Amino acid sequence: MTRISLPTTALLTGAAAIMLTGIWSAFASTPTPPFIGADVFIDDNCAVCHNSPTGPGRLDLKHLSFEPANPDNFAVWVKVYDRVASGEMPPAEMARPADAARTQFVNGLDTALTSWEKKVAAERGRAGLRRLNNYEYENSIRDLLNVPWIQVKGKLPQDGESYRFNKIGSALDVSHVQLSRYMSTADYALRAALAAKLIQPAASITRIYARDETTLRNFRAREGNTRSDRLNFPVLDSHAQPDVRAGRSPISSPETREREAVGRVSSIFSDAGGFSWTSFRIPSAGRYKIRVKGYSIQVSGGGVDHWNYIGFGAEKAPYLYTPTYHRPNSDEVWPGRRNEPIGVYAQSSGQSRPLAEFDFTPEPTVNEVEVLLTPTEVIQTDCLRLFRTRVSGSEQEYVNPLAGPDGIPGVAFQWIEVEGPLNDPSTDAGYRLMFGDLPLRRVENGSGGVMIQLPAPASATPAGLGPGRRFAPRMQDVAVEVVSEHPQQDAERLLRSFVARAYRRPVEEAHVKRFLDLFNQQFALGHSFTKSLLSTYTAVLVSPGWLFVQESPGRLDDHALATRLSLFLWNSEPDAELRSLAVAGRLHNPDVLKAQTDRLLNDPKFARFVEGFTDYWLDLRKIDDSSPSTTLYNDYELDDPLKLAAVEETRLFVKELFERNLPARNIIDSDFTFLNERLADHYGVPGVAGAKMRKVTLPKGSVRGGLLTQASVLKVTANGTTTSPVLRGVWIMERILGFHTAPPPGVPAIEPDIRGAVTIRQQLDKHRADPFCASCHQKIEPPGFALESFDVMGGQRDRYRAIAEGVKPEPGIGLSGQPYSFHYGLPVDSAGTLPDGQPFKDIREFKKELVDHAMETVARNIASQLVIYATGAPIGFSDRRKIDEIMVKTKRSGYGVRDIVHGIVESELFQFK
Amino acid sequence: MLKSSGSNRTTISRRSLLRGVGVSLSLPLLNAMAPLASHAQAPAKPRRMFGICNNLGLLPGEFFPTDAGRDYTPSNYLKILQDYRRDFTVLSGVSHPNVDGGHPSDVSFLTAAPHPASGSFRNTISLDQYIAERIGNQTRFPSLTLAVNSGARSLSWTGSGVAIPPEQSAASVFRQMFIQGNPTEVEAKITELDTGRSILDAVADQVRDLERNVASTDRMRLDQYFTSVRDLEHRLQASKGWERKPKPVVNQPEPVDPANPTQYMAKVAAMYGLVRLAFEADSTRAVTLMLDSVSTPVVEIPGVTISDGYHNLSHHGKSEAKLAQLRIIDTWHMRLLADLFKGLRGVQEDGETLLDRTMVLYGSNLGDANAHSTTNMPTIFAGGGFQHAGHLAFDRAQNYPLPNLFVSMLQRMDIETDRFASSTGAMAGLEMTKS
Repeated sequence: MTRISLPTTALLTGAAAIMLTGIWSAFASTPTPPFIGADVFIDDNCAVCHNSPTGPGRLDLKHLSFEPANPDNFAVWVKVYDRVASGEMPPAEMARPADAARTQFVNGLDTALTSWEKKVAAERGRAGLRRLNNYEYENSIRDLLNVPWIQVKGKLPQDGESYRFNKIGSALDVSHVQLSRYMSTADYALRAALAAKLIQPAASITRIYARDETTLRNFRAREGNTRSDRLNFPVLDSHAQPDVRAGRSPISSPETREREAVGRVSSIFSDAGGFSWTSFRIPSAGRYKIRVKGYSIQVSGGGVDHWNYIGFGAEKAPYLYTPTYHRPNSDEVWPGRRNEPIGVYAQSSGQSRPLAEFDFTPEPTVNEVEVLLTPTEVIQTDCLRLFRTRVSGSEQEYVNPLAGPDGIPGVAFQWIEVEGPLNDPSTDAGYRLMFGDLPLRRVENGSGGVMIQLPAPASATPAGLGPGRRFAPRMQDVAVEVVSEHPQQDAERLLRSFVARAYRRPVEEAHVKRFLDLFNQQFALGHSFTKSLLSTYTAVLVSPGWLFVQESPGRLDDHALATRLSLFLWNSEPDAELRSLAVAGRLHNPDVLKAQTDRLLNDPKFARFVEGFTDYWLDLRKIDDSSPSTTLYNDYELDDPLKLAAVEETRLFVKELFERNLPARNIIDSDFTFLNERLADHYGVPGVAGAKMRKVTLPKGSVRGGLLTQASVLKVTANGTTTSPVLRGVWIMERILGFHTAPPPGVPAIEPDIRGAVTIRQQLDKHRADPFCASCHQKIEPPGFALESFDVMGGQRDRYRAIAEGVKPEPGIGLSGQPYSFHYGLPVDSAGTLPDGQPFKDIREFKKELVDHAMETVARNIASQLVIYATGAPIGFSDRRKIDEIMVKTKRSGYGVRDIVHGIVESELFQFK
Repeated sequence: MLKSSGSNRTTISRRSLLRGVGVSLSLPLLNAMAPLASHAQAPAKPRRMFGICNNLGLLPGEFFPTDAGRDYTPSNYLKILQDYRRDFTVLSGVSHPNVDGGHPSDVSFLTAAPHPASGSFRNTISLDQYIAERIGNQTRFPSLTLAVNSGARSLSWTGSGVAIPPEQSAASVFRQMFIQGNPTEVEAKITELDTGRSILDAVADQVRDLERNVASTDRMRLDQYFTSVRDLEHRLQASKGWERKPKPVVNQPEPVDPANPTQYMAKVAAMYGLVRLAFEADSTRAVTLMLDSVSTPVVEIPGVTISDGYHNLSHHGKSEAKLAQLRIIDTWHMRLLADLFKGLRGVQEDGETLLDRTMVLYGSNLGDANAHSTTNMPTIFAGGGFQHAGHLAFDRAQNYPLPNLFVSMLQRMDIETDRFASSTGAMAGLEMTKS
């Protein structure tokens, strides 16, 4: 018996009050029992207390009919089953029913509940009809039209969520808004695929020297920009060039060109923006290699004094800039003392997206990354560890936290290279799908061609605007047409193959005919062949045959099976291999299906599963919902590298569980995780250097390992300022242990207080004195208490932080340059007692309790979460038995996570609608 | 004033993306375009609503007056609005029944759909869309869904509970509302709308084929799709009608969108200005504005140093340093609201002020952001043809249902109904003006 005994779908008593409103209709004059004789057992054993919705039992079983078609009513009967079956009801202080009577009641109720669900499943399946969600839609468009860079998810209205996932039909609504967005995104994607054919420039290599990049030449302070740590400076072979900086020597000379660099000691205030290589814009969408050459440096402190101005208008006055130790003297540069992590970003229309991270060493290195880029993007490089300065503010207000007696660390960039787009035979696959071998040509704008967007040629830059100051249009509209000698025949031929490829199952002739009619109607109206066909393809991608996942009640046919499998493990449409196996009718063969499951798990596209699943299961999509308080936690402020590494840790960790079939125990505790230097530093794990994430064996006794103590999880369960054992506890119970609860109605939340006089636990203790509250809180709070030893960013703590007037703050300076304003307050108490009375003193003991006694619960939960995700339906009463079977099958590998996936795919849960 | 044709061209080409079928459809304004049908006759005089939700709310202690009635003593915040004292009612002790769950509850601000944070939550129609479905055909834009600093969150939800993504650029809305395309552009747009309708016809027919093969419960999903197709067709049809009508001419330059989310107050001001123009030109009758304070970074306020992101400040934990900054931000909100009232009162329409014909609902889904509580929502209701009642104070422990105010608003718009969401009737203590 597990010490933490958690009925799988038990609902806490607090939820009952809410549900009651839904079942009033069930109080008929003569209630219908779930089976003959159930009323006798209820009268004898339950109705003493459960005789009124408002009485002490908060439930009236005496008058409750069995109305399984009403989900709320069904849920109450499931709860009755769970309570009686587990022996929780009738409670210990009441007379116990005879074993035979109890067994008969439990079995009878079981049969009634199961047979109802079976009947429903036979009629309409467990899962309802659903459309593709936004993740699946975007990935399918990318794969279908071979436009892997395209980003359309954000253009669609947000998906609804049910049972925590974006996979349930009843939450995936369609409205006219949704539909109009589908039309515009389909059109956008089709034209992007068309443009890909037209551009296809031969891959070229462009190198930009830092000294040539005018935006990097801000060597001297300008008015209103006195902060010398925001200035760049010339560097040659790890040393300063005062003459170049002062403008007495040329910016570059042929002899030293390859060794010249531009240095910097600061990062920027928000994501990227500091080092923008603006003289090169990405010409076309595709795969590129980016190489960055540079090294780390050390710069003397003390600053460089110079005259500047303060104030504006009549109040403008000169003053002598006075150097301080924490400002760089950019005329004194030395070789670096350590590695510096460098981030690479793609920037467009004011938005930056991170592409890669690597390290500069004291010796120059060339660092190469391969990435997908979109037209007009600009490459930015940023020094992730360095001071994030602000534009304004006084010398005293902002202090470089890395400045010390031996100077200030910095970096020097020599050049970047962009190679690409790296074309391959698949580059125009989207075009070939749409137009086959028909030639594409440019035509005069306004002559009726189809308009697509291409990057403007460099010559479009108006005279007088040098590189780096481009106000010219970045994209231009170009008219094109596909040449067809026999438009109608070509259209029919192409349309047939397009629909056959786009639809995930055999196409009915009636559907093809409707699309053909549309083409013919458009063509007859005088629209061009190209435009008419594009409109028709748009219709295909807006049609329910493409948008909806079609499954019929009963066992899935091979096409539906292929789609379910690829939507599960790739978040996308099935590929050619899956489709051909479905066409051949071989996919349902258990060996074939198992081999395909392994193939999908091993494919790079499995990363889409990891992203989609963790975004919802673990709420990683909410990682930016709050940011660390700038007063309590300004040591975390602007620390994007930490946040990015935290998310990456969890994704890599989850991927590892599936790839290596690791036992479910690892979800709670593992002897390894994935770290880079920043995250290892955050966790206090020694010996991890560099920006690259890698698998690390944790030191013995580390509190890390497992998901509960990962920074990402601890961040999404906090609000940036405070942590709540209740919220974290509920989260762990639901996500990790599969125990669902509902908030009590009408109970106000506790008001957080950061003044340091009272801890959240002390506030909760008062609140738990009420036995009605305690009945739930004793179950949900223990995990939250154990996690109290972690702050809002997952840092370990033994005291709370507080802010109060008149209390001296801790010494220290944040990345933003502002001094800490918090002090350490009351001690953290992370001990607790499990519902069965077993005490634990901290997170280590808590994890050990789970590992020793709750492994099946954890495995059952991950299996259940995966079943919901894979099938688009919640775990029903009768589904529990199928989960039991998966548990039995996977027990031998310690509930290996990959084995669980195989168990699910083999199960009727997966193979039936 | 209309811009020169030269700048107009730049505007169009900057509208980027693509020129085809999708382009016009991708403009959010068109999405929410025309209503299905007119359920009500055109009222004699145009009446309008403007719903604003600041999803971090206001400090309750500074906002709510302590005494009730027409002669209440203004609180610190309400002092800023005292020039308009007779033009608005402040409500206390009101909330949406069963709307809980902290931050996610902003999506229920104009829908009052219960338990927005729960796993099985489904939103319902928002007040503005309810209005737009009934009288939206009388204006070029049936409704406007706006937001400041929001990702995709908005206050407007369709009848099937789907979010309408907001417009965040005042300049873009201005162009769509007031800048006339040349005849070729107009015709091209009309052709696109026609093609769009043909596409919808083709896919609508397919639904019937599919319906034959699906279970009855699944048929409801396809019905929803089918209804969406028909909704969109009607909207495209209505757009076509408006496309040939000239756009109104306004004597205002195109607004400039503040580039940075830190310029939050400037963005709010730009939106308020735009909404006044939209009402003045009678381009729409229903506007919603989500002030997504939760997603707002450190707010820039001239002459003041704000140290924390707005969301962090709201978790003030009673720290005086944070409270002081919040008071500054809240005060700015009140000032901008006063400016909005001033602007609306400064415009005359048939002998009445625009404020008299515009119901402005300003409030928040959060009663107290520090505790994430969703009761005691701070609420100001201004203008719109009501005899304003000063401070309508209800029970702060057992709140009065705010949806009742929505019922009164609908009735004031001559939309016959006696309920909206969880309402129990019309708003108690608030009478309409005569006529």
